[in-house]
Amino acid sequence: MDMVVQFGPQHLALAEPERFKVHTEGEKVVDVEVAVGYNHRGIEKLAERKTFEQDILLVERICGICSMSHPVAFTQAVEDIAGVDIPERANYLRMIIAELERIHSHLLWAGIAAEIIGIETLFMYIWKDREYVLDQLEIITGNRNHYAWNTIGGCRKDITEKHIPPLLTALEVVERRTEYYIDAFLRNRTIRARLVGTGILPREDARKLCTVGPTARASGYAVDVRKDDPHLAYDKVDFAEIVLGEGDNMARAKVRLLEILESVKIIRQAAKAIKGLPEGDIAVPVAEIPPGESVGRYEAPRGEVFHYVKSNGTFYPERVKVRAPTYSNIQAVPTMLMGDTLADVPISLASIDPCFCCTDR
Amino acid sequence: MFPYRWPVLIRVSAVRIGDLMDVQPFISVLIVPGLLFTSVMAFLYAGMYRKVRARMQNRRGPPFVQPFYDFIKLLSKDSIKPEKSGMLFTWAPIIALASVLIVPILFPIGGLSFAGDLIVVIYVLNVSAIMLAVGGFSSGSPFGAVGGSREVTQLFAYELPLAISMVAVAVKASSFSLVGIAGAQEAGGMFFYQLPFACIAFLSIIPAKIGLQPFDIPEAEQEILGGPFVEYSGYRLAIFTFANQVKYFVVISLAVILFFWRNWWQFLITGFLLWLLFIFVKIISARVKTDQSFVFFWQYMGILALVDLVRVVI
Repeated sequence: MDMVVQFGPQHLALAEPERFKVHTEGEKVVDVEVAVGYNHRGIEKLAERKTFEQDILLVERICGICSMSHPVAFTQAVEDIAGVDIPERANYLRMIIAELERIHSHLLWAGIAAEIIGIETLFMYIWKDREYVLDQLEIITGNRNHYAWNTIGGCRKDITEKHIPPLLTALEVVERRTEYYIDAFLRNRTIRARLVGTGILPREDARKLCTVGPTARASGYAVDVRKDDPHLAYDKVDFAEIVLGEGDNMARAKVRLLEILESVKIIRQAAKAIKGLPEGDIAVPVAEIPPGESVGRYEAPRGEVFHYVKSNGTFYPERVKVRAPTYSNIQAVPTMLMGDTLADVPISLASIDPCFCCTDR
Repeated sequence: MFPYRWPVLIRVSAVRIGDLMDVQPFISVLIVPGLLFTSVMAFLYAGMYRKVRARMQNRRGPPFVQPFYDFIKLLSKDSIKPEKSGMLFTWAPIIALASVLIVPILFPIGGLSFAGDLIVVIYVLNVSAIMLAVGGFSSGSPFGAVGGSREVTQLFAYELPLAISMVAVAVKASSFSLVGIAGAQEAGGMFFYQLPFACIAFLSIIPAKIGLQPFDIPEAEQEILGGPFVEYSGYRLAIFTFANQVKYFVVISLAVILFFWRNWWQFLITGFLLWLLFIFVKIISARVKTDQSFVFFWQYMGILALVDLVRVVI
C-alpha cells in the first residue's frame, strides 16, 4: 500500500510551517521530500534598508529561541569590519547570556521530544524547570526572550554583583534537574524503545550533508565553533565538547542534555571571571563602519550560525547573508527517516531541533 | 442475583408496574448497571483521568465534570462530513457506542447475565475496536487510514493473550458467564491469587484496549493527528469520545469481575483503584511502536497467559 503522508505545512509535531512529503509503503518510509520556504519574511533584504544599529534589532527577531545567536554573529561581523576589539567583560557578558540561552533551548527541545514520543509528563516537568532559566534571563536582561543585550562594540547592560547569587542558585536547580532528566531518558524503557536505534545518521553522511551542532556531534562528527574557532571568551573557559558516535535519536537527546551540564560549568566560570574585570567597562563606541566585508560565526544551540556582512561605508549594510543551523541540518532528515516507520517521522524530524523561522528568514 | 437492595422508591414503583410486566430487564438495561449508571461512571472515570493526570503533572486540571461539559458542547456543534467519506462514517461511532453499552448490562450487579455471555463480551468489545478502524478508513484521510490500520494491527496483537486469559478464567470457574465467574470467586477467593499470570496478561492489555500510553498507537496525536478521529467533529465526535470513555469503565470493570470480584461495593472501589494505576502507567510511559507492542503481547503476555491456562487445565 503506497501512500503519501503530508507532514505540514500544518502539523501537530511541527510548531512552524514547513512541508515534508513522506512516501510510505505501509508504515515504512521509502522517500521524503523536503519543501522549505513557508516562513520566508525577506529579512536579508530588509536588513539592507536599515542602519547597522537597527539591524541588530532586526536579526534578533529572526528567531525567538536563538535570539542571542543572530545578534552576536551579526555584531561580530560588523565589529570585525570596524576593526574594534570589544572589552573583555563584554565578551564574558555575551557568553553568559549565550549559555543561558543554550540551556533553555536544550530544555525546550527535551520537552518537545518527550511530548512527541507521547510522554507528556516529562514535557510538563522539563518546561517547568526551564522557567528557572527564563526567570534569570528576565532578571538580568529585562526580557525572557529577545534580550536586546548586544550593541556594536559590546553589550548594553552589565551583570552586577546582585545578579550573581540568584543566577548560581538557579543553575544549581537546573543542574540537579538535568541530571534527573538524563536518568529518565536513559532508564525509562518506553523512552528507550522509541529513541534507541531510530533516525540513524551515520558519521559519513553527517559530514557529507554538512550537518552542524548537536546533530553532527551525535553522529561522531566533531564540529563546534566554540572549540574550532573560539569567539567570545570560549577559549578562556574549560568545558568539554560532547561527541557521541551512535547517531540515533537517543544520541542526539544525550548530546543536548549533557551540553546543558557543560553550559552550567561555563556560566559558573564566567561568573567567577567577571569579578576580576572592571565593572561598567562593557562597550566601546564605534563611530563609523568603513567599507569592507566580514563574517561572524557563532555556535547557537542548534549549530553554527553564520552571518556575512558587507559594508560600503554608509550607515546601511550593502548585504547581509544569514545561514542558520537548521538550513544545514534539514538536509539530513531524509537520510535519517529512510527505512524507519511512519511512527518515527515526528521524533526524527524533531531530533535536529528544527527552527524553521531561522531557516527561511 | 441481587447482592444489594434496591432503593425503596424503585421497588415500590416496580411492584406497581410489576403487576403488568417484568420490569427487571428494563431496570438492568436503562438504569443499573445499564445506560444511566454506566454513563455516570464513564464521566466520573473520564473526569478522574483528566484531574489526576493534571495534578501529577503540576497542573490544576479542569473541573471534575469537564468531560460532561465537553460532551454537551460537542453535541451543539456542527458535524462536518468529508466529501469522500461513506455511510459508515456516521454509523461507526453509533455502533461503537452501542456495542460498549451492551457489556455493562451483563455485569453481575443486577445485570441480565446468561450462560456464555463472556463470549458476547469478547465479541462486542472487538466490535467497538473495529468500528474505530472503520471510522478511520471511511474518513478518506491518510491519517485516518493509517490510524485504522494501526487499530486493526493492535487488535491482532492483544487479542491472543486476551482470549487466553479469559478462557483460563472461564475454565477455572467452570462457567462462561460473568455471574458464574463472580460466584466462583465469592465461594473460593479472588482469581487474582489463583491465576496471577493470566491477571497480569489481562491488565497489560487494558491500555491497548482503551487507547492509553504506552499503547495508544492508533490515536497518536503527534504522529497521525489522532488517527481515526482526525476528520470527526460535532455530534459524531461526541459519540465516539463518549464510547471511548464508556470503554474506560467497561474494560476496567471487566478486569475487576474476572480477577478481583468480592462484592458489589468492592467492585466499585477496586475499579477506581485500578483506574488510578492505569492513569499512573499512562503518565510515566512513552508511546511504543506497533512492532514493539506486537512483540510484547505475543512473546511475553501470550506466554504468560498460556502458563495459567495450562495450569488450570491440568
